Amino acid sequence: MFRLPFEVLRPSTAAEAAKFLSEHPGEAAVLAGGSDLMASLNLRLLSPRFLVDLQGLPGLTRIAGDAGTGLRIGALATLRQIERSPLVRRLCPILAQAARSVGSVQIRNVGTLGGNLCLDTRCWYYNQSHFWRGSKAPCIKAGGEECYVVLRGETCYALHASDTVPALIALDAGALVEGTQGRDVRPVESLFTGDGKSPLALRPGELVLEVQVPAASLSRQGVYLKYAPKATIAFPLVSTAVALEIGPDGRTCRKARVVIGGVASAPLRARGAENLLCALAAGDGEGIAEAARAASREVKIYSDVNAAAGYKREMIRVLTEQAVRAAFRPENPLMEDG
Amino acid sequence: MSAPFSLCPIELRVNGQPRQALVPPHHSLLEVLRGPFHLTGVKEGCGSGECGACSVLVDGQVINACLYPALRAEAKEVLTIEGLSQDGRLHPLQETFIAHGAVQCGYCSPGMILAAKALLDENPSPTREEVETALAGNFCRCTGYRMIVDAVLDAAHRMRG
Repeated sequence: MFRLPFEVLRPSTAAEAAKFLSEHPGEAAVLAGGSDLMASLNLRLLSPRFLVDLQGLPGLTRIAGDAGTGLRIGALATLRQIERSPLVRRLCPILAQAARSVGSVQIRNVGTLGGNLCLDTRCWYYNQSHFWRGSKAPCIKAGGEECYVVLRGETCYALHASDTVPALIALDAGALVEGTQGRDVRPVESLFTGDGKSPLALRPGELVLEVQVPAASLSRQGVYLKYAPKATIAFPLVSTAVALEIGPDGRTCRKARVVIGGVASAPLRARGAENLLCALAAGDGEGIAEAARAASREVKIYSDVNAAAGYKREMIRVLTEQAVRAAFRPENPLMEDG
Repeated sequence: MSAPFSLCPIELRVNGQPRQALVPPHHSLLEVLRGPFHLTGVKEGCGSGECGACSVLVDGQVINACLYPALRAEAKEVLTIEGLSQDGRLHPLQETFIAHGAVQCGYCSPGMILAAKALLDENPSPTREEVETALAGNFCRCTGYRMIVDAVLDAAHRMRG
């Protein structure tokens, strides 16, 4: 059994949890659903002395809201609850699609939105057992000086792997963060540093309590598409979240969000594609294709063990085109049941 | 090498019976089931939630026991493969898995059957595609899956009477 021992603490308030985490930086890990943390502990990627179990905190599993006031989802709502929530499926199906694409039923039954939001970056050379990693000098993310993806690289290129984050950025969602100084709401997009080694812009002691989707975003038509080595369990190789605000004529896009996931250390807004999509109408096939090509060129991509950079770039173009075409169609035929 | 730890008492229900154990706080439900409870039907396949061999039902939901902290199981209802047969009679899923040749080496079978039970408890008339989606978290290296899906559909048919 490879997991090193730890103690489990059960704070009764978020403030108590934040205080303990801020007082024990580097020694304590947050336990939400545990589906990712336990896997990392089994690989001995980290060996915290303490787990701070958030399960006892009240009110963090709630999914509530309406078209007029926006949607609020507690950080401990499971991905399965989100995938199946009639409210989420009706008000922002892109988030239900993204939640549904995570892992497997087993993982989604315990994995939480907060955990997926704060998911660590991943790399073939990092997410391996301590035994496997012992065959090479530690990589940069593991505290060493080598990168095995970008040889002679000086920073970490571990990849952002969350499915819900691109969808939340496409919805301009905010995160309610509790820290030792109190609470504030920050754009989800601002939570990511772009650094593979320390991907989260959260200080020790800061906890995400809730995700908020503003009412204005709920009228956007959105689609999340994920391309992965297999149809289940896998993290995204390339993913695209597209959300379009359609004007009163029912056909013309007046605001667009195109977010690319899986190919960099943070999810990326393809702003060139977004600008091209504004003022495009639903039937403009060539305009959509050009926006998709633009999205694939905006991103710096490295080849890795999963795919060559050129292939990932082509998949960005393909997924973006498919997602935009589907987003223009309000009946959203890519949404599956189950 | 290991830091000292103290044991924590947990009380839960397993296969319909109340059970207690003293567990190290860093243990998983898998380690408790296979260890002090001697329920070795639940298997460890990967230890990272990628294969589903360790699937058990907790409060009716299928989860990966290798990722489930033992202390979280307090006051929960756990169902393992050992709990599926009643009074010596096999559950319809166990009968159809045998009848359809859905068991070869048997390593994936406990988790696969429990994942199927979770599906049928909620959806007694699944389509073939719904069965495949529900079992997508359970890998089998032997059968090629077709017999497994046939067995689940047959069990659903039998259970509908």
